[in-house]
Amino acid sequence: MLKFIIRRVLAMIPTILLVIFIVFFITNIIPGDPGRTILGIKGSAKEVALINEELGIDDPLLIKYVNYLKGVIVGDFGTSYISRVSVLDEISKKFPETFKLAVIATVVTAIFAIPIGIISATKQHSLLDATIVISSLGLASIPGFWLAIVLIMIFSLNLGWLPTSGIGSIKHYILPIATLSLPAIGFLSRMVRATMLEVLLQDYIRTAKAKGATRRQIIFKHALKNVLIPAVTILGFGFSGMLSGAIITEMIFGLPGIGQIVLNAVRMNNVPVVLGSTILLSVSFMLVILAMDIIYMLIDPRIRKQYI
Amino acid sequence: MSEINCDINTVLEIENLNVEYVNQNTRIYAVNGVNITLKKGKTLAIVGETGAGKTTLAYSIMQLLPSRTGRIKNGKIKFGKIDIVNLDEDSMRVIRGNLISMIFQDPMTSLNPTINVGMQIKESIELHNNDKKSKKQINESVDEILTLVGINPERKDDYPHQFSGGMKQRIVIAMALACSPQILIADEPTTALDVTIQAQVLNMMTILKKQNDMSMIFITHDLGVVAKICDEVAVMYSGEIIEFGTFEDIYGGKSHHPYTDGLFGSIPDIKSDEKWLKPIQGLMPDPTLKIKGCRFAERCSKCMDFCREVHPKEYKVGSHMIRCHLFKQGIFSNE
Repeated sequence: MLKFIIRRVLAMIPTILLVIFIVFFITNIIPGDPGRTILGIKGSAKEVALINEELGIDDPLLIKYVNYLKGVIVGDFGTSYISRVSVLDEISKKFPETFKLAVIATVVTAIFAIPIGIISATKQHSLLDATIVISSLGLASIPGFWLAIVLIMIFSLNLGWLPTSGIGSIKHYILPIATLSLPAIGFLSRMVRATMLEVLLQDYIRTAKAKGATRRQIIFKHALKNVLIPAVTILGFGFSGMLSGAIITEMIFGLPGIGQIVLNAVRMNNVPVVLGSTILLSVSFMLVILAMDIIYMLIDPRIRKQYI
Repeated sequence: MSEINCDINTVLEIENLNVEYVNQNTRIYAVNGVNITLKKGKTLAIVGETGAGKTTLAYSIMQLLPSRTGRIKNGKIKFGKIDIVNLDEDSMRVIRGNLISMIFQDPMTSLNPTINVGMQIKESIELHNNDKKSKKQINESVDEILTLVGINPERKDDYPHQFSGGMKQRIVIAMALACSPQILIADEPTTALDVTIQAQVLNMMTILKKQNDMSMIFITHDLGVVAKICDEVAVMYSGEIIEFGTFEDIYGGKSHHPYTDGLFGSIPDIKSDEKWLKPIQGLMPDPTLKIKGCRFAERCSKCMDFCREVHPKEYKVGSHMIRCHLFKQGIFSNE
């Protein structure tokens, strides 16, 4: 297992280099004048030229790339044009917030969606099942920004139970997490239900029945493991989606996460921050996929066999 | 209750069993008035082509019919003095896997891919652990049963995908035998295996059956397999038993149902130089139709006019039963 993880981590290196290469060249194609961005309208032409030279803006592309890589290796992702703070500092201050939000939202999704899907599947054709199927379709179809606004309207403005935005207490997290989790719960519970129904038709479930196993034993001992594989896939992709894509939720609820940084950086043409956060996000995406693969291996011996 | 058959040698008795599958707009008559008895320590073969209702019959005994569509319309399945048909799910669970076990057709898919085989066998024992075996004793039983089916107990931590098809079927058999059942129902256990492995598995099953003093219902469409291991044979066609007898009756007797004749006739003879196989012409009747006359009439070469009108009864001579008008008078007694 450890060997597998080491091998996979090593294999990530070329991928990371490729990601940096692509992002670096794209951000270089974008027109812009870093000196002007840094100094604003007040700076004189001379000062702007001086800064540009200092940054090596007019160096050949390849040299710039190599210089950037050299920095990345020692953990220097450059300095933000706007705040003049090291990119790494800026991101690492905000990233934990986003990470926390994504982890909690994913856990909440799993805690609700998996049992709901299982109950729905085991009570197929019942009124409860029909209710779950219809409401989960509704949840899965709701766009996040609309859900966020509606939740704020109900729970903050009308009922006054929860704050509208900001950070500070646990209360502040309830609405953002609900916004992220509810559609995911809708989607995942449908998926779990469908997979469970399919698994329950498998021959080995019939074998378990023929042994005299109870329904509960069949579902938890024989079916659940086989249902978890697609659930892990969805949760994993959902999690990495939340890392990079919780921008809207972060904006609406005024949470200082990576989403805000990226959005502002793109708007201001703040190239070092765009580069740094893109690299960070793609590395975390790769790590999430690695984690998913490890979980698959723990669940399914057939997958384990392919690697060990 | 009808008169209880006092023959202590009978372990399972099925009386006039009718099973249907029903959905919104169709009704499939899968098993129609089946009567069979299984004697202690004997092997009964149920032979018939695909769709004859063999598996439905087996599922009825195990009460494993799909709960929403399959239902036993009437009839009795008497296991000892208990009528399984009216048994509730909890009591049935005590019987399943413990007193009556079943082996399924495809060993490749009958084992759970995510649980190691030792655990899967252990589960059978734990589910029916009436004599309160300790964990250690259960593990010993698992080793014992694996050795019995010819698999090294050291492999019990392996997963199903690490075994070959024949070995998987042995594990399935081990699972079924783990609680020393009184009846073993084997639903085409060798169909998915190649011929050499078939022979191995069949030999093993015969030996284990003798050792455990079990009765066995062996479902197959392979007449060669039947010849190897069976004491009694029931030929099933379109949900009915159309011929029933001892092994000698079926393989040795002169008189047979035309369908049975057709079945044997369709086995190619390696000694003669034949260009074509001799199939029974036509197909089994649509199981959604209620048929007034003989169910085989449309395909029968000896069909008479009233065969299409009158449903034949079970005509018996000694142990041999044939459900065909030809044997009403005289002809059958020629034997």
